[in-house]
Amino acid sequence: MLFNSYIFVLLFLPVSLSVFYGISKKYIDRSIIKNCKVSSDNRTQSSNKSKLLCLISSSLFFYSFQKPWYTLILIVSVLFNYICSWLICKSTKRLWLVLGLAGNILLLFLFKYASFTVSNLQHLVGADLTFPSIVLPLGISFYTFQQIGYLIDVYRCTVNGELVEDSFLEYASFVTFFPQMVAGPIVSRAEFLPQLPKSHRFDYEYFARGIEIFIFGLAKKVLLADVFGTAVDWGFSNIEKMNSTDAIIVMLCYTLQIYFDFSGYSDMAVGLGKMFHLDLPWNFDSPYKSRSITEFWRRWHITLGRFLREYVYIPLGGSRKGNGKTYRNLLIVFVLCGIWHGAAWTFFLWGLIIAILVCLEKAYDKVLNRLPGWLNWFRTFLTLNLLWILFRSPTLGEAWTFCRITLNLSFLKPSPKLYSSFYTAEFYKMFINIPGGFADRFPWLLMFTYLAVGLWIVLGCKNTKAKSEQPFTVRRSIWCAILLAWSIVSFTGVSPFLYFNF
Amino acid sequence: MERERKIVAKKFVRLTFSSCVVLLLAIAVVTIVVDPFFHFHKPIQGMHYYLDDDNERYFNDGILRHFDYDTIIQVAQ
Repeated sequence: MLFNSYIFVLLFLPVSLSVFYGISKKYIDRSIIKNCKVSSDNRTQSSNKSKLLCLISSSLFFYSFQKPWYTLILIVSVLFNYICSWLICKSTKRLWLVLGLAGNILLLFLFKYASFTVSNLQHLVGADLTFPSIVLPLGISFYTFQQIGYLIDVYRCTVNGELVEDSFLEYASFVTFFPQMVAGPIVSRAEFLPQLPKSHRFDYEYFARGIEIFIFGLAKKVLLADVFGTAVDWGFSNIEKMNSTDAIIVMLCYTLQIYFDFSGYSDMAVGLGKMFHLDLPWNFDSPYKSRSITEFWRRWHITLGRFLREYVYIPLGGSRKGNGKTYRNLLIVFVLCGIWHGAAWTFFLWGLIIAILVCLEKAYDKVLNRLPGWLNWFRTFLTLNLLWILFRSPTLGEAWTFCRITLNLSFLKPSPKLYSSFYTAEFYKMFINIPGGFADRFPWLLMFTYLAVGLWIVLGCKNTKAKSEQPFTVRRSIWCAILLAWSIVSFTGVSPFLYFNF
Repeated sequence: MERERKIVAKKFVRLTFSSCVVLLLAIAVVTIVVDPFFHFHKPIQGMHYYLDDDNERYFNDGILRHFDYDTIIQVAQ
């Protein structure tokens, strides 16, 4: 099930919210009527169990909607990790942590990297090796990493003598909570589990914020990301036919598409969490305003960066053991980041190049800080655009061809197939009916308008996190209503999120 | 201050949803009245209809169901 679908917005979400708050209200009312004859602990436990069961069952329904067999893998993974965490709590032996981590990595390797590894071995040694192609279960990278983080946190707590009393229902809710299970954010134990035992009376403040944030995310995905996506799909399917103008435009389109798609999803996840009175962490903080690649990684996919820092970079020594080891650790972290996104040499190279750039920035920090801010921004933005070509390209060869065409700088007119990708149902008829043959003379105007709006939003506007801290106004309410209605009527066809591929 | 913010949030939720419902109803009404593909009724006298070259086949169903004719031949590839 997709967030940007009729069935989710008009059916699943209202029903699951109604059941969730209905359960909460029932236990709150019952305790008032009984005038505290039921002890607060019993009341809280019963209420909690029911609420958690509601969250888990709605999440599993959401997850299994299109491919039920994915749910089996998820359930096995949840059970395995909970048993490992229980064993860690019982005996604090590192063995159980190692077993848990190995199990998770094996699961990820089997579904994501086995086929790639085998095919590369085949080329390397010339052996006749085959591995059946397995469809990647949705969200496996996200929920596996989340559970790895959980096991390590539990181990650290038990080593420090802290008591860990997470019930199975709490743990299962933590992993399967549908807003964040499929494409993040990667939530930590400390920021999610303490919220569960609270009494979740319906709160208009939380709910209103949740709706506002959800609508902004939905609009980013449906009204912007999907439009840019049409141009990107054309570009990457016709690399050889593009001129440099096309290539530059497609490159910019992908830069905008991936941001609006992924940040749109993350905003929806945060908004949905708030609707359930649960706070999820923000995943984006205006990343394209960054003035260095290092800063970019503090603003883009924040929870993945946090995971890699907490569980890979710092345990390796971080920056505390001299420059040489710092650069080695950065290399490991960013290569891991690259291959986490997928089993392909393009992702490996993408991560490697980022690692090199981050190391260079660290080495020449003082020199770069003396440059004007706009110049640092420009070199960062340009670098990111070129790196996204590598990220998006199916093969290294195609990435190289794309970059070569981009840097050709022949500046011919954009191709009709490219600018016609922007002839959206909302604006096309208005555009061609502008009097004076305007559309014939400037057929690419709609394309450049979309690009200008996209760039203005990512570079000039406040992000969703900043907007969500502003007070509610009538104007904002009307704007949200327009965006929601516009998004709902744009739910045509199936447009999954890009990060579902990872 | 806490009470004030709650009222504002409540109003925000109600205003957003009611405005959205009104907008969606307005879109639905316009779609039904204008009915560019004749799915709901025959053409309204006096209204100009644009027969899109790329989407001719999508008019077939509506023409079949709502137009007045003695005989009709419809073709689609």
